[in-house]
Amino acid sequence: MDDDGIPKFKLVLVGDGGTGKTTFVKRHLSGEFEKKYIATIGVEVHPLMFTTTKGKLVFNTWDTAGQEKFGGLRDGYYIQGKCAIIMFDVTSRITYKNVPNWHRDLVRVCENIPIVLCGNKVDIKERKVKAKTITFHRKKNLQYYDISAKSNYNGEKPFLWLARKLTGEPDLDFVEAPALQPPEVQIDDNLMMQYSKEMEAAAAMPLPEEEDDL
Amino acid sequence: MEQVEDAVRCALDPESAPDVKAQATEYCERVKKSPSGWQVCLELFTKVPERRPEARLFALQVIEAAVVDAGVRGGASGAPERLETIRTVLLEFVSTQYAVSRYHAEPAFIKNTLAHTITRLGLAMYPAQWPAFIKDMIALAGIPDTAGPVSDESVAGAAGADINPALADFLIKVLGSLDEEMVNRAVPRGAEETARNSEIKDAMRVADVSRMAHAWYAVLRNLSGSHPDLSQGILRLMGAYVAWIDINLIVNQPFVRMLFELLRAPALRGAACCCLVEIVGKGMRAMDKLYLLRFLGIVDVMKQLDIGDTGFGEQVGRLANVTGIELNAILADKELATAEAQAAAAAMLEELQPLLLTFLSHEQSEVSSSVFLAINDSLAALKKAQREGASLSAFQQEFLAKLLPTLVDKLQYSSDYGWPSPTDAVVGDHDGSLDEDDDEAMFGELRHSLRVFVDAIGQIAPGLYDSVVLAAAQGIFKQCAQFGVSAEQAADEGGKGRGRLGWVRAELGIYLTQAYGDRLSSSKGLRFGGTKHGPPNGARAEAPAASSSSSIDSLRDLLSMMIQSGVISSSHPSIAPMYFENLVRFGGYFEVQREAVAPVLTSFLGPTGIRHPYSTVRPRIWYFLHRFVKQLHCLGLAEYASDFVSAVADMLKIKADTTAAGAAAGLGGGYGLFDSQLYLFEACGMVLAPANLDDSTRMALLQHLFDPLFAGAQQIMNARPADQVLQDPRALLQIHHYLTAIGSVVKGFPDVRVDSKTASASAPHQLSPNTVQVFLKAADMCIAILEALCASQLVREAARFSLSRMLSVLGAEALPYLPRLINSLVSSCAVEELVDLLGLLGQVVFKFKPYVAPTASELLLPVISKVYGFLDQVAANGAAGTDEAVLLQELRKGYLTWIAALFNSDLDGIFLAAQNAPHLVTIFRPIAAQLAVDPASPQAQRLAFSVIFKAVQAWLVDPMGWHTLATLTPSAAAAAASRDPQAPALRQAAAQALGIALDGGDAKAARAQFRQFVMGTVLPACFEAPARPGFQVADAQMSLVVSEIAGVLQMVLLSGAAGIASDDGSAAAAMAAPQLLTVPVGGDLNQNQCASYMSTALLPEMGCPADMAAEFVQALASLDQKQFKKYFVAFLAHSR
Repeated sequence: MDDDGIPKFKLVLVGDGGTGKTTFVKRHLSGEFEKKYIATIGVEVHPLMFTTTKGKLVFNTWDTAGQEKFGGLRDGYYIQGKCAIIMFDVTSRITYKNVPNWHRDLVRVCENIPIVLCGNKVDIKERKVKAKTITFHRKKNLQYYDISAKSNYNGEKPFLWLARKLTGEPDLDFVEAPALQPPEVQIDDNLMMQYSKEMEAAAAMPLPEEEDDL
Repeated sequence: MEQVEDAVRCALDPESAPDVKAQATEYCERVKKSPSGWQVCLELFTKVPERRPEARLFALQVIEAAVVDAGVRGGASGAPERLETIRTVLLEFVSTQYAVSRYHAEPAFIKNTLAHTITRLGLAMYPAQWPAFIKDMIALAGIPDTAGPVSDESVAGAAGADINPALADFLIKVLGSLDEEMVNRAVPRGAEETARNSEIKDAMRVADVSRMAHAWYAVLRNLSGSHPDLSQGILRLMGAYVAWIDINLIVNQPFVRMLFELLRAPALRGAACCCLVEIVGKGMRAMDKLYLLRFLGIVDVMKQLDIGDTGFGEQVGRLANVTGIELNAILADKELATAEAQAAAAAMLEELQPLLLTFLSHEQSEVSSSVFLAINDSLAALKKAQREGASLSAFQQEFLAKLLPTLVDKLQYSSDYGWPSPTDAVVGDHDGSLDEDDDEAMFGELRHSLRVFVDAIGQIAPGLYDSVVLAAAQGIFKQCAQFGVSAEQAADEGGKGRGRLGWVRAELGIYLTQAYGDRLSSSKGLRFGGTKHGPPNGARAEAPAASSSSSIDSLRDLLSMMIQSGVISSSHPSIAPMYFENLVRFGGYFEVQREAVAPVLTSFLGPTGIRHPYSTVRPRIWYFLHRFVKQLHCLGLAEYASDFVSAVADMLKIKADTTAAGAAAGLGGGYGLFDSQLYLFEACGMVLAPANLDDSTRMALLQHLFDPLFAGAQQIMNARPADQVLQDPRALLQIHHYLTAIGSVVKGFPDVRVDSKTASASAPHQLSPNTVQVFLKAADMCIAILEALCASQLVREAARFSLSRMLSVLGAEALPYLPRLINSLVSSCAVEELVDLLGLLGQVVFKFKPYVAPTASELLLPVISKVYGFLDQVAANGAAGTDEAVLLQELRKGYLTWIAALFNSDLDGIFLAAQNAPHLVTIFRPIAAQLAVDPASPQAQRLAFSVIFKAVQAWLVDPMGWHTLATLTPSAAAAAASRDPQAPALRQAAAQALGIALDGGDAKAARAQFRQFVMGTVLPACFEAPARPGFQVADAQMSLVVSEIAGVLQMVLLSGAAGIASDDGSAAAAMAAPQLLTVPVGGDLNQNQCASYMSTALLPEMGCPADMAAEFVQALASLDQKQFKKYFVAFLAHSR
């Protein structure tokens, strides 16, 4: 908390390069969808303010570099992280495969913080990481969300979940929708229904022994 | 050192200026890369008094990088000395600094990272350079060093050991990190690393794992009272390591006694239980596992535990679960488990099952679901046994008889389930992400799992299923009919099963009805009353099974009970959606129960139907009403038309909602409530369509529907000039809605059949002349609005939708609108619309075939240039992003699919039309030279080759157009041969419509050009495509590409065969009369100009030896398509 009395939480945003971390943050900052890919170097910190039923709060979001070569201080950025989002790209299997690495590095520095796993780009029909293969969060007790930074799909869900965990208020809600631009693409309802069914089926399935079908 | 510290601080400070920060980051990077960086960092890290923690973390990262640089086995040049230095300094640091109170003051992230660094060090140095890695770490903690088997004697020394709790904690961190780096399979690793890890594990198995086990025991023994956190850490380690170490190190008298003791210690029982879950689940052979389970006496242990606490209950549930899974696995292992072992396992399972039922019936779903997998395995085993002809034992029957009612009970909503209020906005985000705070999703998941079990029992024991599930549903509906149903009360008025029905059981009754019906329809579709409509004799005997037809009778009766019970009078939001869903899902019911249509329609139109008080429920019901009407379509709805339209009319007011998510440029839905209103519009159309409806009534009702739409649109258009309307998003959205609504009403009418086989386009019309007039008027308006507002994507989308519906319904009468529609759309459409537009064009040409030839011919070049304009534009903007790449692929596929549709509609003539023929090769070159050979998109490759295949067939094999290009079967070809030569074939009709003489000079010239193109570009592409890097024949999609190429090659060869090619080798059309087009081509290959070109020019030029080239052409000529593909694959493999 600062002198302005608004609680502030450091949020660490990690994941492979090109999964859409910066786009996701920009979406919340300016509401714009960034089409061009410009690799983040080191880290960029952005305060994201939310108004909730329990008052305002700010996520100081550390948008870290996904690409190895631009990694900068890497684990150093995680220090004092109060919560985190690990992002992967559902159209790229390798980005999901690397999630355990990001998670391991993260929890070494930030023990016991709430973490959300996000599969981005679900608006794209050629989905490669199918719902049934997304099981990592169940092993590690993370929350998982399908998101689409492009269409705003589930855009606030990760923040809402983290806000509830951090404040210990399970009934907390965002009162005003953050000023977002209209979405770029329309999420296909049928597609979402299908994902949702797959997800239900996946949730009912036993965890695969290990990552046999990534 | 200070400089490094400053740089780190600067780089991490969000407030630093960007350039300073970049400089600092770069400096840190340089330190990491510099050869002596690690030495500076070792000093920085261990310095007393200590430096800032951020800087020390960075120092550890640099040191770790130096360790990683030493190579997987620490053998890089100069590395051993470096590693030795690092090891000495760090261990010295740990033993002097962490043995004292400083350990607790040290930030956790430093301790964790140091443990990780030391682990990486161990991995690089153990066993060769640092054989005592494990021993040293244990010794640091002050734990006595004991190796060898664990027994009462061997652990005697552990008592009273003087263990340093801080260093024991550090030891736990190191061993945990070791498991994560080496064993934990969630972490991806390279092959070299995996091999190294196996060596390390083998080395550890010699003595170090037993050292670890003794150390674990010593900590549990001495510190479980004073330091429960350490014991939890140890139990976690045991659970992790048990997977790969000798089980006897953990399952022995001292450890088992200890574990059972800890199961009673409130602070440790959870961790002990989790550890047991891992022990029981360890991968072992059946007999060993049985021995293990008996040794542990695991079922007896569980019986004695108090599972009142939800958290612990869940953990014990997981233990019961894994025990059940293992016992079922032993029972299933007929090879390794002896008969006695099987009997013992069966007995143990019988003992376990009551326990499983206890967990299952637990009111907390976490506990309940912890045993799902064991239940699943038990049911799967019963199913399998049944398939093998075994019948259920008395015990198994009893188990099922207890299990099923428990499951049915759990299927109910909880009475305190939080429903939204009637005015809450639509939540329906179909969240694929299961949110633990989302009751609906959680309950949905739970119910889904339970339902799988219930259905399985239905299969294993149908009698039991009927007596429980069917009886429960029937009972509920009877109770409802007698006492009524509540919308507010969750529970039944007089206790379960008595008095006025509460919504919980009302919903259950409807849900069970669905479950009952789904089970019947899953196998072979669902036909009600099949015996009534079937042939009078023998139908009974042929019915799948007497039980199933009686089950269908039961479902029919159950649906009747549901309808007659009046359960739909409850306005509780859980009732109506599934109630109506059932009626739609089992819509065949109305074929045998016509009299039920009227009351059901009444409830649909009533206060708990389309006017449901819950705004979340209403749109759902609209959708079901639409489905319901659609299903009844053929049964005649004329009598309900007036009532229907007047009942829904007031729900049809269009109010553009600019706040709905899709307000800007959404494609395919996303307009909020309007999306659901479209269902009502279409349903109205369907109700008005039946031919037996009095035409004046239809006209009146149609006017009633259309007037507000027409008037609304006209009002907007007349109020302001178009350029002002274009500035007003709300007005555009409103226009979009009017046009889409009109299109939806039209969609309710059946498609006209265009008979392309006859020469006449005016097929018998199903629409009354008045209806046609109204629709044409609507089309006029749509096209006028489109032309005025075609700069708006919203309007383009709506017009495309509506006019494509009118084309389908009106047929040829609407064709005059097509050029105007396409011109407007092509002139201003965006990339993503173009794909849809191409789809529409494909449908239109396929539907109208020759009748649309002139229009298609005019559109050809504009559309193609639009496509390439976009392809170039997207490519120029850089297809770096996923989105661009996907868009590009979609567009390529859409384009090729459209070209293929032109051929499949026998409109190949349009390429030969005067304005297009000069561009023929220009059009096909990118298809053959780019799209066909780009392995990034095998789907586009396949389409490209299939287009080429058709083109070769059309122009080089059958240029006179005797045969259809859509399908080429021997029978179709034979039919063509025997047809009246006076009546033109489809392709000939199209050519006539275009004014092309197929045997004229212009056509011949175009074909000659094409032949050259085939020889010079297509044939090389056939060999280049599969040779490109990234092309793998084994890939399923790429294998299809190879099939397509094989087809092209054979078609080209056919085009050179004597009797098809002209004698002088020119490209003159030679198939003057219908012939049978078949492969293998056969014939004299010396007479085949294509064969000789391939064997003497093309293949040798590509470096293929002469004999191989000859053999290839021989195979091409003599094998059928399948055989040739096999040959071709081998040929390609050989020539790589």
